[in-house]
Amino acid sequence: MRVWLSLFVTASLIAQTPTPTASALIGQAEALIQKDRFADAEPLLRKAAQLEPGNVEVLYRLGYVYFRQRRLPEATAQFKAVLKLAPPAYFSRYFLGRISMLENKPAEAITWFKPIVDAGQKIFDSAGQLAAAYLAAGEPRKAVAPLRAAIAETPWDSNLYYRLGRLYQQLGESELAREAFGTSTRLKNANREDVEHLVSVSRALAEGDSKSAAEIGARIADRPDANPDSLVALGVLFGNANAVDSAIVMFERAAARNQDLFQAQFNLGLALMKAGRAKEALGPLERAVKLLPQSTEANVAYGLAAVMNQEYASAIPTLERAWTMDANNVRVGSLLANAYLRTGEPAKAVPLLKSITQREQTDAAPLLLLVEALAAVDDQDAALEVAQQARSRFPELPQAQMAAAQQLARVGRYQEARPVFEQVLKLAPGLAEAELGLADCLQKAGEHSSAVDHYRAALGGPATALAARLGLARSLIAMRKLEESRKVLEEGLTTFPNDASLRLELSRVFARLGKPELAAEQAKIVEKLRAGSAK
Amino acid sequence: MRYWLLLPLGLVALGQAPVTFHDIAAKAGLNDVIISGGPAKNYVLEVNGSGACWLDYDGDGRLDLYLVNGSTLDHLQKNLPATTTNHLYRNNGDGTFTDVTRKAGVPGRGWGFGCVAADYDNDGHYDLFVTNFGPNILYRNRGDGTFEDVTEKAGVAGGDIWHAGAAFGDYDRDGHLDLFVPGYLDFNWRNPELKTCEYRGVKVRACGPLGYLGAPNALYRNNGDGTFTDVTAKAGITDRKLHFSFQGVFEDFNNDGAPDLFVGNDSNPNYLYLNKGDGTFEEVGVPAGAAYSADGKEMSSMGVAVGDYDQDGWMDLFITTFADDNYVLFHNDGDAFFSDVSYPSGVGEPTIPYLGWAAFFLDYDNDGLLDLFCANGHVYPEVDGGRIRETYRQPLQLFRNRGKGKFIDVSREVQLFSLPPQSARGGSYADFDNDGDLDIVVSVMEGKPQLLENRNGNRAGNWLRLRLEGTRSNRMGVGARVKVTAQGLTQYNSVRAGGSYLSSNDPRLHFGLGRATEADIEVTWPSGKTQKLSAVKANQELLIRETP
Repeated sequence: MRVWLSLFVTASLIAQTPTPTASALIGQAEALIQKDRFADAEPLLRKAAQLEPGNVEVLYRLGYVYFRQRRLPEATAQFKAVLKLAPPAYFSRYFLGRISMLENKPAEAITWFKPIVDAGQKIFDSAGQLAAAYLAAGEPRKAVAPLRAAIAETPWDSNLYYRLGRLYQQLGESELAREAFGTSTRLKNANREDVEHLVSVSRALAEGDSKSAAEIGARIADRPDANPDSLVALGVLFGNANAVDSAIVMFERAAARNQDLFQAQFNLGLALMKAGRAKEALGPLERAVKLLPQSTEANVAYGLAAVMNQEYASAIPTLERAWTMDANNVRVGSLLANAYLRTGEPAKAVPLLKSITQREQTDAAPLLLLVEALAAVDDQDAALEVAQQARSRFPELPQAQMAAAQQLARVGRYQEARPVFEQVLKLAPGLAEAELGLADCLQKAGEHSSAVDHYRAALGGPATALAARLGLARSLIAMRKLEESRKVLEEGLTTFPNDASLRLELSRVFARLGKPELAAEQAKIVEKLRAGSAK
Repeated sequence: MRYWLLLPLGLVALGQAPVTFHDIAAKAGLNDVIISGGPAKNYVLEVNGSGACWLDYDGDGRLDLYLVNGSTLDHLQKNLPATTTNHLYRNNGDGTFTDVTRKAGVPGRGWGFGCVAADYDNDGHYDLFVTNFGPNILYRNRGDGTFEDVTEKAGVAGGDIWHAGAAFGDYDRDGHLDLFVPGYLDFNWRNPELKTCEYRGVKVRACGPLGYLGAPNALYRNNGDGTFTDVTAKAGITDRKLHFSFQGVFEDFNNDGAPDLFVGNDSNPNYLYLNKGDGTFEEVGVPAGAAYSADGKEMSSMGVAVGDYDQDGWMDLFITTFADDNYVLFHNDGDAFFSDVSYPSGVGEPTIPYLGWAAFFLDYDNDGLLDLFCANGHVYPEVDGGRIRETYRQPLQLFRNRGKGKFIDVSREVQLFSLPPQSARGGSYADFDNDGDLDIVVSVMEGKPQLLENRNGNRAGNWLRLRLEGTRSNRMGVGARVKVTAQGLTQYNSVRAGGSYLSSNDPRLHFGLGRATEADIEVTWPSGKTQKLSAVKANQELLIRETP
């Protein structure tokens, strides 16, 4: 649109002055490009480039016309110039990738395509191109994800499913290949009308016209004999356009029509997760895993859903399977490690997380999980070392600062922990865990008056309420504020009546208040509670 | 007060040599190896080591040394003749010792653990009580350089259980020293179970004490005729919960004139028995705040030190614990209410890596402030594998009292870190060379003892050494509280028999006086009588006899 507007403006200017401007030249060249008259467009663009050497609009078009004329070195120079002047320049990257592929340099092509796909940019068929580049580079397993991304963009494209089937064949994944070929065949046999509707829906959604998209989609969905594959494709389109509720409806209908349709169950589960309905997602995803246990994606999705539902034990088998299938997937590894941790198997999580953190440098989550796992296996020194690494690599992340602070406190280095907790509170003011940590540091330094303020600030946190109350009571005892301490403890007992630590402190308070009978009574309860917990 | 704080700087300015400790054991002739099972440490019985006691057994004014020795399971099981004995080393007065064990007749029996020296029969000679894995031994000092085993007559053998760190104290203030003997755990030496457990991710074998039953404690009342009566139940200190007790210490924690009893328990809450003054005790560990650490956790209490480190007249407690946990300093807030001040005092963090045993307050630099010594060493040799940073052999630690309740780790400065690390266990202090500063002995696992001579402590400050002799009170003056005031600083200490870890310290009281050249002394005897001495000259040993 901007091009045509420029053209109009340029035309007006031509009427006033005999010397054409760069924008006028761009307009003229664009008109020629639209007619595939690349050789004619070239001199106009070169002239424009002389007038405005740094104009990326000119350079990009010049690169394009060279590319279309197969003058690859010249095209490369123009696209690289655009990339240098206006990164990330995804369109130029795309063509640079294409050029690399034409020059039979797939490894180089990957470096151009991958950032586009990773950034979620839907630039032409960059996902499909990346998949092709991986295949050509002899890395078929890595081709799966971009090919799936390409399918998500054009879910009616039976050819992409066919390519996926071939890819799985190459990987020796016969069941996955069979499923992909099956979908490809079903889409080829699908009602031609359905395909046209799907393309129309895709266009409408791309233009933000969700009303039209819904209307056109209904022509597929509302048919009594609606093709489940078309319904899935429609759901994928809605899902990609963030119309998750519509997507769910389509997938549900597809699944209702064919319960054994993997794509329906799998996509339904994903859509439900996306809609924040992780509990409901478990069923379809479990079904998807049963239908196609070889699917890494299905195993990962089920594992994720189970983790989200805190059903860690049931997440482990699927995640272990997914990890075996794709040991490079750090997300799967992290999920599995998390499940191990939550099911009381930190020793299994440690090597997994160590391997992940060696490879993954940009995500703090695995590093923080490793701190937790190492602490859980009582390797506090290593946990502290990793926590300090996390802190130095992610200084602005409160969780990373918190991990280091808590680990310092855990190994008794309260003096060093104190400024780190203070840093956490700067990054995340009011964070109850940090308030509690800082309070503990102050108490250990004998600064009870300051500790009291921070303990009070931590009283509201559900995970810190008890510890904060205990700390508060202890500092009040140290300050000889016995009645106040008693009140704090007795209030605590209304919520935590069976907490031995509260009663232990209460016993101390009663003794100091000159109430030995009450102190003895609390001491007896402590004994009973501790004996009970020991059993 | 400012004067005292400035003293160390003054020493530097004067160019005085720093106070350091040097191991002179080999030169002194302390060359016998202490054993405790095999080096592999397969069983909990093998890991706890043994104690060291100072006593002037021959009355020559020089402190002699008694070291307890262990044994091996093989010896126990096969009833083999002993290849090791306990050792009594006579102090020759020239920096050397002579082993007089056989001549004195105190070899011990079986597998020894602790010792405590005290004049239980008020005859003016230090006797020896030795705790064992199995029946204990009471050696009565005949006064002629020899001892006789009077265990049977005295009735303090205590049965075939594992006994630990005993203490003498006159709990009923009748002038006769009574005896408390803690029991550790019930170990089946005939058919021991070879266990494996995990410590911080390291597989170890000497698992315990959790998983075992505890052994009972006992209180024996001294009848004054050479016999004792077991009054454990009558006095109200029956160890119903069978905690794993390691060390008992008698001390008047609430300043009511009657000795109370603190018992350090391993992995269980400690006991604090307050003396009700009627021959019975009341256990108040929890309300008093001495049962658990500040975080409400059971401690693995090993050694117990008692002293008034902040000169407020209330006796404080220091307890060594397991590795990966800090040692605990309990401040006596008054009336035997304790607060864990480990971290604010500065002894919390530096002790975390270590596993502590012997512990005592001593004024090593004679500045009038009680410092703190800890002997360290792991129980598991397996920790040396590198999986964790803890080590089996560990350095000794000394914390200097900086005043105002603060300590600083000076282990490096006093050259304790220069000594080869050992897996230390029992230990005690004494001015064995009578040169006016306190020296230290440490018993180590599978090694020769360390005799740490204090150099320059006597130049760092003036001092007073007091030897108490009770007349109405017990002869040794155990339980007497002494107040020393010099140049505005008042210090308190008591005569105790038994403490640290399986050990007993110099029975004489040593007070550092800094630059003060004289001091006023006030003794409160167990009998209740108070005795005052004014302007006592510094740098001397003084015998204070209880006036009738």
